[in-house]
Amino acid sequence: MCTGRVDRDFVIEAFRLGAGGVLITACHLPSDCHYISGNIRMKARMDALAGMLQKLGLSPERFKVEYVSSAEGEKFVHIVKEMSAQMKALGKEKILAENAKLRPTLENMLKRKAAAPAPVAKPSVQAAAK
Amino acid sequence: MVEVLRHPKVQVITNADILKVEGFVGNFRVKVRKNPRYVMAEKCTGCGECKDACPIEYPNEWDMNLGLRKAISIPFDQAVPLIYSINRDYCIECFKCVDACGAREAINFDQKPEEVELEVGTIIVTTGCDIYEPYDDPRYGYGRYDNVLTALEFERLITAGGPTAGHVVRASDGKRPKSVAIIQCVGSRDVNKYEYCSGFCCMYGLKEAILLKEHYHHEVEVYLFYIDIRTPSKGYEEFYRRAREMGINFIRGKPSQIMEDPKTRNLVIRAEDSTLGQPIEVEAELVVLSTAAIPSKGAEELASILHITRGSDGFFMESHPKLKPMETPMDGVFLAGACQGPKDIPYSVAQGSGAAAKAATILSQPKWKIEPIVSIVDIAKCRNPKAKCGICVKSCPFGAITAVEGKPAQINAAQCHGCGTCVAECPQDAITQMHFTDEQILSQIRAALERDPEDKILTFMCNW
Repeated sequence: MCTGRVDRDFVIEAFRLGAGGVLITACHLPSDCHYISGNIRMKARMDALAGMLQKLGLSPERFKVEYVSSAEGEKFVHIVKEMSAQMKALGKEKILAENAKLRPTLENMLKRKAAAPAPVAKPSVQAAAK
Repeated sequence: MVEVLRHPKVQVITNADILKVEGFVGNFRVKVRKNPRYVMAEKCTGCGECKDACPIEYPNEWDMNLGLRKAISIPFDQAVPLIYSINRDYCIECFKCVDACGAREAINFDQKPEEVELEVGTIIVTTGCDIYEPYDDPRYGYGRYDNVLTALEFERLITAGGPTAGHVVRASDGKRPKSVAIIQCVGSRDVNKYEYCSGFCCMYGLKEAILLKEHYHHEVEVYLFYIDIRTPSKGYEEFYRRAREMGINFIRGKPSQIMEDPKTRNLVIRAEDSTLGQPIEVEAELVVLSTAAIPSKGAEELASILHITRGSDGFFMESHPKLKPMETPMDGVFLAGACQGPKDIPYSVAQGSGAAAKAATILSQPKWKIEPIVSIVDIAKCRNPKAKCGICVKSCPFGAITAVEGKPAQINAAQCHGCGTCVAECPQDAITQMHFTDEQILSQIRAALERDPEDKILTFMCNW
């Protein structure tokens, strides 16, 4: 399976459920893709989606497309560390506020997907431990 | 090659282009255009009387344009099949060759390109590589200075069958050089040009040096500039030792500049000798550049015809660098030789034999197993019957989907590799990928984001 399989709906669903960030890591452009051009199709699709999500109020650092080959573990670590630092800088309140603002639109977009359950706020791990 | 040509079960088609490849493993349909030779293959005996009669000569590309050939000629002396061909770019149509051919009547100036369609089960790509010509690198002065050659040009000079019958001469004055500098890694192992090691240049650099010493003994001084000498294969290190024992000067350093003395036309090479740790200048009467192996000119076009991938260096990419070194992402299409990456003769022969065995394995089986992750179309949801859609057809990198107007899209399971691009692109959600359905992936997303979603980064990756 290829990143070309990553549907817009998957990203939308992740943000509807309140994900802090979404990262897509693909094979290097232009010709490293095992499936020839899946990474190129994904990039075009996600560029359009990123523009739309940002207009709706999503901070750009919360949704990224990066190119990491399976031999670049260090690069992957670096990207994830960078992204989590950026999320920390944004702050939890900002992320929660953005999610609340986005949710109605995203829910509307996912209407045609059957059996999409409402996000149930399960108690956080820290709270459960207490 | 002659043995292959005469084999009753082998058909050799030369001087042809691949136009189109359709189908899938076991059922490829290949459209080939046979380009005209203006000599009929079945009538030409290869006697060469036409060549003797032909008055036109032009640079011979087989001799790296150092020698001449006639407008009617064979590609090179040992060419298989032995059939003459006319280069119409140079031919003046004096028809002397027709007279020389006489009763054999092999020459036909009205020959047209012929298209044939072949049905084959497997395909092996062996298109080789090209050699970098460093016209764009001002450091070496190639193209500016007459006495700077590439190793292939030098090889034609020192070969007994070459244009000078094996005598090494300088282009500027026709004299034999008394000192020759061979420069390794021109273009290769260079972050500004080709990052990879071309692999076989060390061995041919050593070979040219040894040949020079064997031809001219102490009358020629040979300098070999190198970064590292790489001789890992069987018997290669012994060859390197022989070169050192013959008195060849090995200088560890990459030249920064080559300048020409305008009077003597000798070349002054500036480099750093890294074993001495100081800059040096060497004067040589001839410079030979061991240039990089690069992807062949038509590689990009062939990759798109065959739906196979190329790596970032431009060579065709294998399915897996260690476990599937001959396979491509397209089932039934195999790679062998330097089209997959620079390699020497023993390695190419081994890979070629391996690819042939892999291809024969497929052909000897009655059935072909595929991965179960193929995509299927929900006929009821597909909008192609109502509106002209075809988005999935464009998205499929393997050409597995067909959408005839008025009918739902169809996916050929044998060609589908399970990338899932069509599934994500379908505006109607009409395509499902087996074992990676939307429901399955959405459940995974929901499970992953069950607790503390705002603290998490959800990552989508491919499985390669």
